[in-house]
Amino acid sequence: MSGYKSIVVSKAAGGKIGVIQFNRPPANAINDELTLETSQALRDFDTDKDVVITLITGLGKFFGAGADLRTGSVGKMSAEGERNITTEKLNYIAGNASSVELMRILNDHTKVLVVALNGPAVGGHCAWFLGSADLLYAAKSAYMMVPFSGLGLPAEAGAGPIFSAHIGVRRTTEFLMFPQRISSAQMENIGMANRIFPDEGFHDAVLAYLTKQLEDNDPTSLLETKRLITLHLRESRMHAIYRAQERLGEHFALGIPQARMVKRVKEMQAAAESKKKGSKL
Amino acid sequence: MATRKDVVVETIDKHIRILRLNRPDSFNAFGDNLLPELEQGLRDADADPNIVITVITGTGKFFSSGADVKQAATRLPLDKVEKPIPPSIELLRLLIDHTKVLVIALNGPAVGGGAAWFLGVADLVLCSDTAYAQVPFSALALVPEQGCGVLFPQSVGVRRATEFLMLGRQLSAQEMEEWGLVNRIYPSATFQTDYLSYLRTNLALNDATSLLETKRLIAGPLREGRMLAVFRAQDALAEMLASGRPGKRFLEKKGRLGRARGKL
Repeated sequence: MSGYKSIVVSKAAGGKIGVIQFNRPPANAINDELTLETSQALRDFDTDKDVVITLITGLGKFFGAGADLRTGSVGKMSAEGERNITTEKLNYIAGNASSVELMRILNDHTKVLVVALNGPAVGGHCAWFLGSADLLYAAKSAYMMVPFSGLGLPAEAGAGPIFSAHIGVRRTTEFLMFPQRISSAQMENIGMANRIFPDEGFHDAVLAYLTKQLEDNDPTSLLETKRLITLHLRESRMHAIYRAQERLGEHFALGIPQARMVKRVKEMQAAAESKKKGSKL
Repeated sequence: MATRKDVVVETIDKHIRILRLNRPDSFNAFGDNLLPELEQGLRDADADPNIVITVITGTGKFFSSGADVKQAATRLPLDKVEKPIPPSIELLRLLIDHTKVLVIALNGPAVGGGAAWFLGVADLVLCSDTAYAQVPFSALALVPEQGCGVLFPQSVGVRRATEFLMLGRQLSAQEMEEWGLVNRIYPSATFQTDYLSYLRTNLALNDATSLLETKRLIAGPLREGRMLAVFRAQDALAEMLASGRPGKRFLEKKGRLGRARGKL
C-alpha cells in the first residue's frame, strides 16, 4: 500500500473494504500519476480475495476538480503550422491511453464499487468515476458538474450512455450538454446518489454504513448482485468509452478545444491574481 | 364442492382479466398450486381475443411474500441441492412473452419473490398507499431472482436498482412512485374500485389495438435481453445454493421471519 504519491490506499472493515483516496491537494487534479496509481490500486483490490467493496473518495474539500488545464495534462497542443490531422489524432489518443485503461479497469472491476463523494466532482472526476460506481454516497456540500461543452470537448469516458442508465437520457443530455452544477440533494432526487450524509464526519459515516451492510449481508450475494446487474452493461459501456476517446482525439486534432482552453486558463490565472490582490487590501 | 383455488380468475367488462393470488393465510406465498394456476391463468388470458388487460393482484393485506418458507424448508433442504430448481422460469417466460397489457395491482406489501418476480416486468403498476417493496436476498445469501437485476434498472435506473437489490432497502409506495417503479398510488380504503376505475376509463378512451401495439413496441425489443437475464439469474441462484451458503443463513433467520410474520 506504500509507494503511492497521488493516492492513499488502505483497508477497512477487517480487510473487506479497500479504500482509495485521491491525495493531490488542493483539488486532487487528475494527472498521469494519479491515473496510473488509481489503476494499480484497483487491480490489486480486484485480485484481493478479502475485499468485497472498493471505496473511492477524495481527501480534502474536493472529490476532484478534473484535469489540471494549466499543466496541459489533457493533451499536448502542437504549434499552428505543424498540424497533420491523422498524426495529431493518433498522438492525442496515445496520450489518453492511460485514462482509457483506467475506465476499462473500472468497467471490469468485480468488487462492489462505491464512490464516497466527499465534495464537488468536476470534469474528469465526474465523468470517469460517478458513472461506473455501483453505489454513490454524497456529502451534503457535494455537487457534480462537467464543463466539456464550454471547452469544446465531447462528453468524456462514455458518460452519455453510462449516466443515462442511472438517471435517464433526458437528464443526462442537459447535464452533459449545458454545464451546470447538480447539488447533492438533486443528485439523490434523480437517482444519481443513493444517500446523503452530513459533511461533518462524512468518511467515517460512510465506512460505518458499509461495515454494517457487510455484517448483515452475505459477501458473495453482494458480488453476485453487482454481476447480475452490470454483466450485460459491460460491453456497451466499453464501446461508449472507446467512442468517447476517439471523439476526444478528433476534437483536438481538428483544433476545436485549444483556443477555448487557453482562454479558460487565462481566466483562471486572472481570477487567482485578483484574489491575491484583494487579500492584500 | 368446489376446491379452493390458489389463484382466483375473474373477467371484468369483457376486456379485463384479473388473476388474484389467493393464499391469504400465507400472505400469498408461492406454495401449493399458486404458481401452476398463475401460469395457466396467464396462458388463458393471452389466448383470449377479448382480453386487453391482464391484472395480477393479491387477496388480503399483502400482495405476495414470495417463496413459501415453510413449504420450502420441509421439502428442499437448502444446504444440499437434492432436486432441480422448481420450474418457475416458465412463469417469467410467460410474463415476458405476455402480449396483453400486464398490470400489477399492488394491494399491499411485496416481499422477496413477490417484489422481484413481478414489479420489473409489469407494463404498469398501480399501488395502494399501504404497499411497500423489499427484497432480502443478500441477507439470506441469495441473489436477485428471475432477471430482476436487468428488469428493475429499466424502470428505476441502475444506481437505485443496485441499492434496492443489493442492500435490501425497503421502498414505500411514495418512494416507488418517485423512483418510477409505480405509476399511480390510491388510498388503501378505495384501492380496488380506484384502480379498476382507472383501467376502465382508459379502455373507454383508447383503441384496444393501440394499447396492445404500444406495449409491443415498448416491451418487444426488451424481450431477448430480459429472457437471458432470467436464465443468468437461475444459474447464479443454482451456484449459490450449491455452495451451501444460503442453507445456514436461511435456518438462522427462519425463526425471526416467522415471528415477524405472526405480528402482521
